[in-house]
Amino acid sequence: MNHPETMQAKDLLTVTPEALVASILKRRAAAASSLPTTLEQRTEENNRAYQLANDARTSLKQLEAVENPDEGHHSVLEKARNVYDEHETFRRRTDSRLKKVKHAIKDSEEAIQFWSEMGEGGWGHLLEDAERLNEGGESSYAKLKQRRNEEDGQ
Amino acid sequence: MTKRSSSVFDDLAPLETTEVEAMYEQVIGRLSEAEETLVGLHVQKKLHSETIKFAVNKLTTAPEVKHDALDELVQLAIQQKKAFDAAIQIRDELVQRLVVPRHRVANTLTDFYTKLTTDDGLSLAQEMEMFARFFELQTMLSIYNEHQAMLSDVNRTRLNLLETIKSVNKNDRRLAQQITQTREAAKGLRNEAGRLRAYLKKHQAGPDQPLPPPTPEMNERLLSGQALSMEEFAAMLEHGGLTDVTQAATPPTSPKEKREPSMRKAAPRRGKRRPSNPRR
Repeated sequence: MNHPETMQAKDLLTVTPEALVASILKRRAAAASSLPTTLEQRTEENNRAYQLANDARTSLKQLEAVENPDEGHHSVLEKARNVYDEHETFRRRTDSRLKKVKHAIKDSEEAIQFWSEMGEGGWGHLLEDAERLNEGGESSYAKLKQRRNEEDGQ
Repeated sequence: MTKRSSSVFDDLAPLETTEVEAMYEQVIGRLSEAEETLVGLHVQKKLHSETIKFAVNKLTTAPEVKHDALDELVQLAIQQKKAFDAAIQIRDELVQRLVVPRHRVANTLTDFYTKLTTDDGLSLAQEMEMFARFFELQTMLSIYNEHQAMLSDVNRTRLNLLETIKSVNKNDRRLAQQITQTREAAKGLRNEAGRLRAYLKKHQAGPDQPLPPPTPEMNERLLSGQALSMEEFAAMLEHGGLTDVTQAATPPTSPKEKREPSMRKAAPRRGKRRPSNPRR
């Protein structure tokens, strides 16, 4: 079989559901293998960001609690606020990245489980349209077009 | 310039009446044949015209080909048109069933395969949708491949039909020429038949006994204003007498005097008229 990017339509006529499921699983497995490392990196990054943001917030609160500030206090307070804002933004970003990786891991696990079950021959419901066409029925595109026409008619 | 014959019957004069009658019968026979041929040609021309209209979809039903108007080319054209219509109907049904054209099926099939096997950004839901579409498109492509022969047949049938219709059209023009020629021939025969009929009528219906000359008694009766019988009137026409009677009966009339237009003589009512030019 040729490389997927160079495969022509006529070559794809011989692709079976088993072969395609295997290809999807292979890709999924390759992607999943790198996810733990990514998760580890994102967790460490997120922990660091949380620590930085936490320290900045503590410093800011201490400066805000000073009762008789001198002349230079205002500029120090402003600087502390900027530092806190910067670290808090970083923390939010790393938190989002971490959640994304966690979601990807979950999705990957579900997908691998799903396609593993499909690989055992459970893809019947996914091939309903192809089977209907084989039996002389209309394609899903034709059905969609018909439904749209009916809606337009109404 | 050739000298024209004095009578249109000159060539018939030396012939016996029976011979002329035979000629007449022969001409009438040929005329009937020509008219029958003309009717047949018109029927064929109509058939050609309807076949061409049917082939270019100006008529929805095929023309009826009667056994006596059997034309292989016309039959072939009708047969090819029916085959073409059937192929078009199959193609339309296929297009209506699949909706997506072949080239787009092939492109989308490749695209989905590439994404399913290389794109890590797909969600499970997207993969499931693409998986189902991939095999539907694969089936579509197989169906298109199966009907490839039929689709190329449509084009071939169309070209064959066009060629046949060209030939029918060519024959139609030839038929038009034949109709013109036959019509001319029929016209000539009709003229000849008329001439012979006129000759025969003249020589068969003519009186055997010449009319007797009019008697003086007829003249007297005519002058006295009494009626004449048809025979007497015919005799006077044949031998003269009507003109004599007219001349004798009516006195010569003097030519009408031409009246001069009266000129108004204008005279002065009072005094004396002065000359118009005093210097003279």
